[in-house]
Amino acid sequence: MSQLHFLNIGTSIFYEELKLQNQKVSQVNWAPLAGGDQSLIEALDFLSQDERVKAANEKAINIVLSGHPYLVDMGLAKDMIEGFHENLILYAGPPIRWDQMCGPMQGAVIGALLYEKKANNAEEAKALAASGQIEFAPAHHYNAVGPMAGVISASMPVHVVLNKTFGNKAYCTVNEGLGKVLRFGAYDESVITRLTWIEEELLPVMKATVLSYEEGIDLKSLIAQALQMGDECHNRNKAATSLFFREVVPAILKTPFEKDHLERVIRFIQNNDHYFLNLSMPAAKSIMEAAHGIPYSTLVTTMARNGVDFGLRVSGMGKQTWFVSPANFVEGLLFAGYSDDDANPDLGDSTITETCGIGGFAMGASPAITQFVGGNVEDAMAYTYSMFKITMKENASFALPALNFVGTPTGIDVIKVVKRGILPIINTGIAHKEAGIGQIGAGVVTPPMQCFNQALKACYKQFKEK
Amino acid sequence: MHHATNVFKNRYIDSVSLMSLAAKVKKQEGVFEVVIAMATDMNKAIISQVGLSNSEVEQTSVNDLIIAVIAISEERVNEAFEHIEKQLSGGSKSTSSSATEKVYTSIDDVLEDGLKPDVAIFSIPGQYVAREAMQALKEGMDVMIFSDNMSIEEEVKLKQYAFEHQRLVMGPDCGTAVLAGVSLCFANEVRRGDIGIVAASGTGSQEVMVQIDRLGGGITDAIGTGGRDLSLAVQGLMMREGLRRLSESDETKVIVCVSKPPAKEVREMMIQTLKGIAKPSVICFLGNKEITEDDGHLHYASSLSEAAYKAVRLSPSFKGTLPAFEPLRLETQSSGNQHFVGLYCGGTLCYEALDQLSPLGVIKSNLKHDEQSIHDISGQHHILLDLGEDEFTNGRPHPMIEPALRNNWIIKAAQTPSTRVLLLDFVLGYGAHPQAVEESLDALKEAFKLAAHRRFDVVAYVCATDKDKQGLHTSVSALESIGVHTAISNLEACKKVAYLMKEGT
Repeated sequence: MSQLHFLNIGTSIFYEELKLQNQKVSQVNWAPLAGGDQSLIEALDFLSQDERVKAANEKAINIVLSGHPYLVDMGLAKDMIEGFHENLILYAGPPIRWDQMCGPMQGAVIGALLYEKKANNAEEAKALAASGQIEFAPAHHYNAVGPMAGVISASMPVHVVLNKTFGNKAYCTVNEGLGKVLRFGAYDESVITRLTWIEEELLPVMKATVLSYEEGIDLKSLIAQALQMGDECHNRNKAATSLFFREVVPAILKTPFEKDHLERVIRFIQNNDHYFLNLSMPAAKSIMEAAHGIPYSTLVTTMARNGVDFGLRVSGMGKQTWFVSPANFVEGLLFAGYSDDDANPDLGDSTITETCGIGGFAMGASPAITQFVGGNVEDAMAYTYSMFKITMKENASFALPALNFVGTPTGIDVIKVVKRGILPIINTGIAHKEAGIGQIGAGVVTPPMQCFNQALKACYKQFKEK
Repeated sequence: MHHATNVFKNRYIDSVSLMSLAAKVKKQEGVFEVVIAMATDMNKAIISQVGLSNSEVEQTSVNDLIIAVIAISEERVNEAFEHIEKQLSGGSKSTSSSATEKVYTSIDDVLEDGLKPDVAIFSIPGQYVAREAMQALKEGMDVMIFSDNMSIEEEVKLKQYAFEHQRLVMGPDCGTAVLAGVSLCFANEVRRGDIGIVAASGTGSQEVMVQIDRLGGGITDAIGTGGRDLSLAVQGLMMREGLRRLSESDETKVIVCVSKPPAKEVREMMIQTLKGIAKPSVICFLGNKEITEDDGHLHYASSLSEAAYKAVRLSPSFKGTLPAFEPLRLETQSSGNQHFVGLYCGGTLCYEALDQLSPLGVIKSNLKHDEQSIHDISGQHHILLDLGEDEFTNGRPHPMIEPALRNNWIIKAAQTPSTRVLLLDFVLGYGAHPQAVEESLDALKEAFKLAAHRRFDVVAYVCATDKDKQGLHTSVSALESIGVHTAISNLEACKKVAYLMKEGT
């Protein structure tokens, strides 16, 4: 008789006794499914077996895998983004009122109003923000994304990224660099001066550069290469920025501007390791947006934080339906001189990278980042492998050499997250909770499980009825 | 006295491991109370009862771990916490860091790895088992459920599915099985042979296999069904599936059926089923008072020893000689003012003792369901306790895993002047404590000291074979060296008790 294979679910005593008998035995360190919540278990059982859900997810993930983003244009937000107007300010994460915003986000709003010359000082800006004359909206509602505070106002230059496979566009501002910058809530004169410089000097050069490419600049290809060069394209963008730099400098030199002007633009890109972050984000956004709105799909199309709450959107649910829960604090390393008390909760739209299968999901590709976010190389590989348990497919376009060219784990499935009790891993920066101080560290964070539980219950409720 | 309570969010660890750890920590000097438990409503109630609850505890959910300690000083409390932390983290590390042994978190996880296990063993909280066990069944596995607290409706549903698909659901509350020579949960290492066992009782099955081994026979499989299988509701579904398997197994030549008395209708059904099987069988429905004569095909036994004896006699491969079987024949007698106290770990062994010794007079036992729960040894009656029942374990591990639970009772029995004989079982083998006998030696020595001025005997039965890891011989020698009378079977232990009681003072 062939040897039996035993599966021990529960106490390891019985596992050890089978080992003692030289038996083939596997151990399940079991924990109650979905924390033992009966309503979640019921939802899981229903959704896991529903053929419509299976088919919808297959369709959605294939849309994600075949998405192909190109940088095709640049321009002011009000000219590029459909529906934008003078009094609109976009921000990162799920919906939030001005008076509820965290410090860095309020600071960035003040900065934006100063930059737009709608206020002469911070006090005026605060009064205006509170007056009801300014319309606030999540950037995601306008197919836009922004790192950290993610604030976008009418006159800010944005990248226009086109998902050529499906024809949809996504938008993101230009990365300002580190230190005192708007995205961390700084709004002093140096910040406004830099923003103005980006609008007046960088935008004309870069717009002309981008338009000189007949097909646009292939961002999917740049990301794929950068992942093979030690970036995960969320917290580390050194390789991607370098590749982008190599790509565009000859084209920049061909634009009809003065040499000194061009040099300032080139130096600005050269000196900012995170320049590409504001391209990887809209690239990911354009890929995920195309997969939104597939009826019965449980694919997560958005993960975003506003510094107070973490929010999710799910493909099969409405476009403005967010599943929201208080954001976690990031665990990681703080720069010298800062303590945990200084940290703001998780903030920014940059989690769109993880939503698309890069960033924290591609940690195994980025040994260099692991110390920065607190961990070792094995942890990084383990992070990537564990994300396969909650995602739908492997993205063969983003192959990771260190993991024997396995593709990135792509397409977070709400069902799998709740069933497995494994949360997406996010690689991220830590913002100071007071406006304008900037980044004080970096680390790893997860969304609150509650968002996924809510999303699962909502999917169950809606799909069951139809 | 100092105490502290800590909550660890989202840290699920199985309860058997936690209970064993708590029992160990409680033995440390200066530590009075230790609770290490998942935050179930029941556990929260226990923590509240010992006065260790706080607002944080009240807000916990089932995936949170609560650790509470009462000790003589703050230092001891801290030491206990450090020890617990070390044990908990050490344990998880040793399982996850080994490169070859992958540890899974769910059945899905296992299946996704391309594995196709044959048998799933569950020891997880009862309310969650049905769903998981159904998944295992649907994936083609046989299922053993050690967990209890499963509803009868769930049991019936699982077993009906299993019966239709010729799968096994052993349990709930099934502690013993041997499949293809492999012992699952609590079982003894016994000779392979041609006798197949189906049992609705764990230690009943262990005693039969141990006695078969002692007499020179051997077994093929020992299939467990869980104690409720022969109820009217469950209709012996798994006893029937087990019999089907044994009837079709080429190696099995003789079948033994073991159970406490089944529902009458189900009993008839079993007898009819056995009549339809071409192999001879031995039926042991313990406590059944109706005498049925053997008919050459069906054989009846009124004790576990007799079942083993008859099975070996029927076994075609057995070539030795068997001594004549001697049942225990007792005249009804009044107990006077001398009593015996039986403290059992094995439920069916206790039940058998109750059945065998009942002529000696009124016996108080928690196995008699019409009686009030027993908290003390009154000295008014004979007593037989199954210490594995929930009322005694109350959040602690089963005494077969953690025999120290019984030591307080041993002392109590010795302190009671009317206790003439103390009767104990030690069930060894897989699953049992690695030093089950040694754990009780100090308590037994203390008991002899306490009763030194009067006639007081201890009779022990060690249910084990010489192949069991704890060692039958060393265990028996250890007991005899301090003056304990040992027996070769539970039945013989009962005989010795009866003899000593008759001998009186």
